[in-house]
Amino acid sequence: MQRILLRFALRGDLKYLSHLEMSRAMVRAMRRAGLPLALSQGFNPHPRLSFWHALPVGVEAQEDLAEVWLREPVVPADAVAKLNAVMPAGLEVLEAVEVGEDEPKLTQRFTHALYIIRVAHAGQPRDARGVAEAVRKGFAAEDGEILNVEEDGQTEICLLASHREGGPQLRKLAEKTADCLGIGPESVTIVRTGLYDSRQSALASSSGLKEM
Amino acid sequence: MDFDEFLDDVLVEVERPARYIGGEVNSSRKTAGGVGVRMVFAYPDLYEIGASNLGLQILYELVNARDDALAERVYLPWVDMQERMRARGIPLFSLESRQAVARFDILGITLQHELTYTNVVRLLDLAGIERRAAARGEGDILVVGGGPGAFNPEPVAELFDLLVIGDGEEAIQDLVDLVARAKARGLGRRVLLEEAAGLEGFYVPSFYAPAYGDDGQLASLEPRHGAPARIRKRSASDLDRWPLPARPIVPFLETVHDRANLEVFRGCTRGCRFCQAGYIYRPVRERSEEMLKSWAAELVRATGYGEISLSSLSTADYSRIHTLAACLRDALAARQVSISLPSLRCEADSVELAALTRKARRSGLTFAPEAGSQRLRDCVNKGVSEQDIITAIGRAYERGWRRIKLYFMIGLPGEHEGDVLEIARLSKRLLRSDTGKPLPGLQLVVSVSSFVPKPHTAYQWCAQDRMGTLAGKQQLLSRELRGKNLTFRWHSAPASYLEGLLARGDRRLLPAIEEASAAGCFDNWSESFDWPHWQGALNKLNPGPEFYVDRARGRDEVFPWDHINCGVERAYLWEEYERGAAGLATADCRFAGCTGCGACPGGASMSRAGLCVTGGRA
Repeated sequence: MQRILLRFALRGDLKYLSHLEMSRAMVRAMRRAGLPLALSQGFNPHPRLSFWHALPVGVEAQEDLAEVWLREPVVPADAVAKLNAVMPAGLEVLEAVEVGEDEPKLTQRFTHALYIIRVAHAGQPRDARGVAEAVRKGFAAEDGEILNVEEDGQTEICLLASHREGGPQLRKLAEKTADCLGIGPESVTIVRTGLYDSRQSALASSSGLKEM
Repeated sequence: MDFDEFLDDVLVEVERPARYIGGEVNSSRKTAGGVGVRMVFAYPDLYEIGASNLGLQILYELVNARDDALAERVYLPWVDMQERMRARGIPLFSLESRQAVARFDILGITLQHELTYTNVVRLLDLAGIERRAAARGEGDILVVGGGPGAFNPEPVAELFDLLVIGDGEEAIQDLVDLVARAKARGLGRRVLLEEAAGLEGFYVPSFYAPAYGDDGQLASLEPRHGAPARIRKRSASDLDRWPLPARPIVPFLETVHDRANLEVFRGCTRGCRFCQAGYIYRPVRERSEEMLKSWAAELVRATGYGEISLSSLSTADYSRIHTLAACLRDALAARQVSISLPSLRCEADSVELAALTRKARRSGLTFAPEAGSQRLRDCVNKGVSEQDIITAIGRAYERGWRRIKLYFMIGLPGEHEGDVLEIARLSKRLLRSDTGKPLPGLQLVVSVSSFVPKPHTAYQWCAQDRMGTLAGKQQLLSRELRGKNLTFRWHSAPASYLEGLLARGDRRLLPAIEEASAAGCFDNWSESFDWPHWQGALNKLNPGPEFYVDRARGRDEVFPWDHINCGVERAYLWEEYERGAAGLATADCRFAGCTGCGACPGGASMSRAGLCVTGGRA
């Protein structure tokens, strides 16, 4: 049995898939790619595949994680190439890594995430400092840490969230952001940019963004 | 209009946004540049119902295989999306290239069920297409219908410029050729329709004028402009020439048939007298075993489905079903793909087949005895004895199944109260084995639907039970069908009434369909079926709904579907009706020789042994 960690991205319209729909698309791609999927034991065997916490509908992920168990070992780089040849547009495997059988679950190994909350405001630039203040005031501690707010035609808020206790309600966060800025929720989109094993590595990854 | 922007704004707010995004594996990415004919196929229901339809998958792939044409898809958006489209002035658009439906050359709508007729009207409204073909002019989209509903399209006929009767494989080529020629030569709409009317299986409703008598009955449907008096259905005689889609679309959503679909044969000659599909899809045409094996492998490679369904009207009747099923099971096991057989007969042999292919017993088995009493099963020509059913269920129990569903109908012609009670008696009897011992743990779900007489069947002359009568029978059963291992389910009587009205209706029903559509659609979804509103629309009908539903017709009455020739002769159906009333069996022509139904080309029957037998009933 071989355990493989897949880093993948979910982009474009596929962000509208439910978690179940995304996982089914993944299993079917694995079958098309001819990966030797291991089946679970029991009355109703199904492929052994697990995901990191479910991504809410409407949120894009530049990084998401899955782990799959295979009956026979494969070369991870080959699996990436085979999968990407048969994936629907919008799902892309970035990397495959073999993982030891005794490693803890994905959600235990990866506890922190970085998000960009994007606010489009049709041609009306805002004052970045004002936006930052409004958002900081509106967000609660459990919503995550605001690392950075940038204005560049649109507002981009960089958020570091801990998912130890499940993590922030991203859909609610989008609404909250819209409320803070007095705009409609359809102007707010959220993108997950990365998953990390600790707050420190998330911070390190976001360095280069200046603290405000 | 920016459909992308619209979707970005609303998709997080609506139910199941994956219905609207397209981009599925194997969906077409053809672009309009240089392409001659642009066609959009519509299934007038939700994505998860429509995407499973094999007929549209076949036609979609055939059109996209042509250099001079492209095909896209559209489904009816759910109410939440419809509201948003209307509020923003967004017309219905295709899934693939997100183009307004009205801007395509051809809109192909499949008529799979009577209760989707209001959806068809809604679909045209959302697309901004004139409802009536008569109101469309030069340059407007050509609205084409097909599917089983086209065998009596009259209630909705005036919505269509033309309808294709029967198998679409060859007809779709003719249609695309015709439209390509019309575009290239600048042929007018009228000339195009006249040419279409000359093609086998093509029906141009505007070329036929109905006249009604004082009794309300159809007096005549006169053809004009050289159109034929009767339209003979298209039938693809050699299915191996028309491959199944090699790369069917793999939906993101969980659909009603969420698996690969391998159609093993088309048609059925068992001869159940109530069954429209059994008459209109004759003769039986099997695909070859070798082709099926190679398609199955290709389907799995191209889709990644974990289950492949061997589909047909009665899959256990495929002439080499055991070897095919065993062979596919072994070949696909390595890829962890299982096989399912959705349509089984109430026979031990069918149970063995199911046991051969299904390892997991979780899904349960379904049998359709149709009627509770032997007398009534004989009348409908079911060809199954009570002993067959007891043995089949006993065998299923031995093979590990514990959840079994039974399908019955109430309201069959000639049914008495005693026949209804027999449904309860038989169901209780089936909880015990052949020798009368209880079968512990067995759960029976008894699903009882209401019989709806359909055109082109032996029962097309019959009155349908009134709603009150059906409700009485349902109450009787709900009293009798009690027990801890029995679950009783029944269908809504108003929905069956409406289905019956539309099934045997004529052109005078269209205003009522339009009125009902204005108030709501999705009549086949119980949460949105608006019976009070339908009643209001039906009250304005003249003749009233009872003329269509609960009236027995005379032998020679002119039917609104008489001009549609499905192959099976009307005289044969009448004979079958009389044999049914007398409880006489009619054997399957695959086993006992030609019964003279008329469906085979040239009057010859294509029996299982490959022999051609001409002649009539012995």
